[in-house]
Amino acid sequence: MSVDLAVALGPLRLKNPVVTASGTFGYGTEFQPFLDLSRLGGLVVKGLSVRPRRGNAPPRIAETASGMINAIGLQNVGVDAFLAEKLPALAGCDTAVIANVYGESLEDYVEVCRRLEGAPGLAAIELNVSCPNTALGGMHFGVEVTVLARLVGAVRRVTTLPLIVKLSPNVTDIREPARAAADAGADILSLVNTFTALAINAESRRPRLHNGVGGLSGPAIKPLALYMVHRVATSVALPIMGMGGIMEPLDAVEFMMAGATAVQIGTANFVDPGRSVAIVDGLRDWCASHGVARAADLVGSLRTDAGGPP
Amino acid sequence: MIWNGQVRLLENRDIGHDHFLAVFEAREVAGALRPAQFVMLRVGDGTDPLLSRPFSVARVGLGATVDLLYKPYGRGTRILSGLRPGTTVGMVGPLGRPFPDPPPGTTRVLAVAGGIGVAPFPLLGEHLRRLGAPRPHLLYGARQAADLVGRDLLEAAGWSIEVVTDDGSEGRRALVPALLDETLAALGPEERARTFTYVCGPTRMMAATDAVLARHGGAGQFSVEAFMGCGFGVCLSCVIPLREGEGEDGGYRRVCVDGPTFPAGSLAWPQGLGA
Repeated sequence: MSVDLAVALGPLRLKNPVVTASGTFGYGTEFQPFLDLSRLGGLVVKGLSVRPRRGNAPPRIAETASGMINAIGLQNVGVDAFLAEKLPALAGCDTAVIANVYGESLEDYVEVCRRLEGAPGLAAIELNVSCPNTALGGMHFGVEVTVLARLVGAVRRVTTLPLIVKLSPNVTDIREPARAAADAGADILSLVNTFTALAINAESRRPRLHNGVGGLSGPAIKPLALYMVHRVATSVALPIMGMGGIMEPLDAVEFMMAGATAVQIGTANFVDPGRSVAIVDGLRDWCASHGVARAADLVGSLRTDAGGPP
Repeated sequence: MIWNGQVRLLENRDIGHDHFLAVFEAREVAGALRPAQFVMLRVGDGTDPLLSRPFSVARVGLGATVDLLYKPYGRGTRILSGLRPGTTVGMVGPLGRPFPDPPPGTTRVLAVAGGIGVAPFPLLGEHLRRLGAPRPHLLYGARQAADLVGRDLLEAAGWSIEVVTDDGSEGRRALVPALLDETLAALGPEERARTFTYVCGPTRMMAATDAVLARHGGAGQFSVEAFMGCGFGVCLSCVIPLREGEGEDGGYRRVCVDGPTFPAGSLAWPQGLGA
């Protein structure tokens, strides 16, 4: 059977629900040796700041059980170089290009979004309010609900692009920042960013990362992320991009059942640079073999009523 | 194009003293491989270990195999050493910037290797022979005689070899940067200016070698090792700082795509090492 993979997340329409996650996909062109970018629903570029950032001192990653902890520190080319060099290189790619935005202050976020406004070929903005690896900004904006609301409101006033807010899982109840972002004008929520984590070298009695702590990603966090996606999906009306350890097509199916309209593929891109497109194909196959005519029909289809087998 | 797919392990031979030679049938990778380039291997079959591992390529067999010389010391290399011929694993490659050819006018080609850092040199030897470069001479240092491996591969690839060990169990008891120092000092200034030196080994050894090259005004190229998340430039985890004044931004370079080869004198070695 033919399967309709197209999904709509408020004002953002994607040809399929598979999007690559910020910080795992460079500026897109790095993956052209491995896959056809036009096969993707969308791609989110590395977090952009007003000025270029050098990032943290190495070591920046540590491998853990079915996961990895990173503290890159948002090394990026800056928004101006993105607009001058990186974005034009994606012209001709038939996929939704999404700019991830990072700031150390509310003014930084607003300024980056102002410069992105009207950029040809840009489909949406994703606000990174959940990076655990920078001294200033980042996660601070995502866990303080009043600060988050002010930030989202300020950005909303300077951008006409669909606005995605990427939530931190490092909160007591993720529904609170989700609601705050929704009330302040976000169009879409993406979740979850990495979990703040620590890896230790017992021999040296030191953290394995120069930064000390980092953010945990990979299959290790998938059940935690699924729970949070489900929690937000059942309490906030906005569409969701779900992510957290998606490696296989079946993982994407599960996130959609939990309530995500689209999914983001992150750490898997490091392990297998072709995996995102393989997940598009695998999702189509899964839908076809399960009689699902539209991928959108999967969204929120998790059954929690009593009585059925697990 | 960069290959990303499954390849078959043809041979995984213990070549003695806990060193291995793995031979993969990988025509798509082998054909394009240049010296000091590397491949990423997905050695596990599940999600633990999660990340791929980088391996320098020692040899390309008949243009069709990718041969890796390695020493099991971490989780990934230990898993690899236990794989049987016939097993398929995921491989991405070739990756990274190769060693540059010796500059025009080079009359002497040297290499300095420390331990398993010798891995890229058989392939470099074959390449130099094809270029018609002067016969290369390898200064090869290791902790002990047992760690001097792959000499048959190196000799077959045209290298003459001079060894030193930390404990004097073979060759002189010396560190290999000191051997380079003597070798360069014995050359006349003109000859020294026409010498090009390739370097690969542990960080401490490379830092000391860089200082020796600087002292003699010697030209050369280093191949650097790093823990990598992806191998193709996006995870930004394998970065290494440039020396102050090098590069437009004086910032970090990615070992995987900006390297693994870097010119002598361009890198900022960790504190306490180097000049």
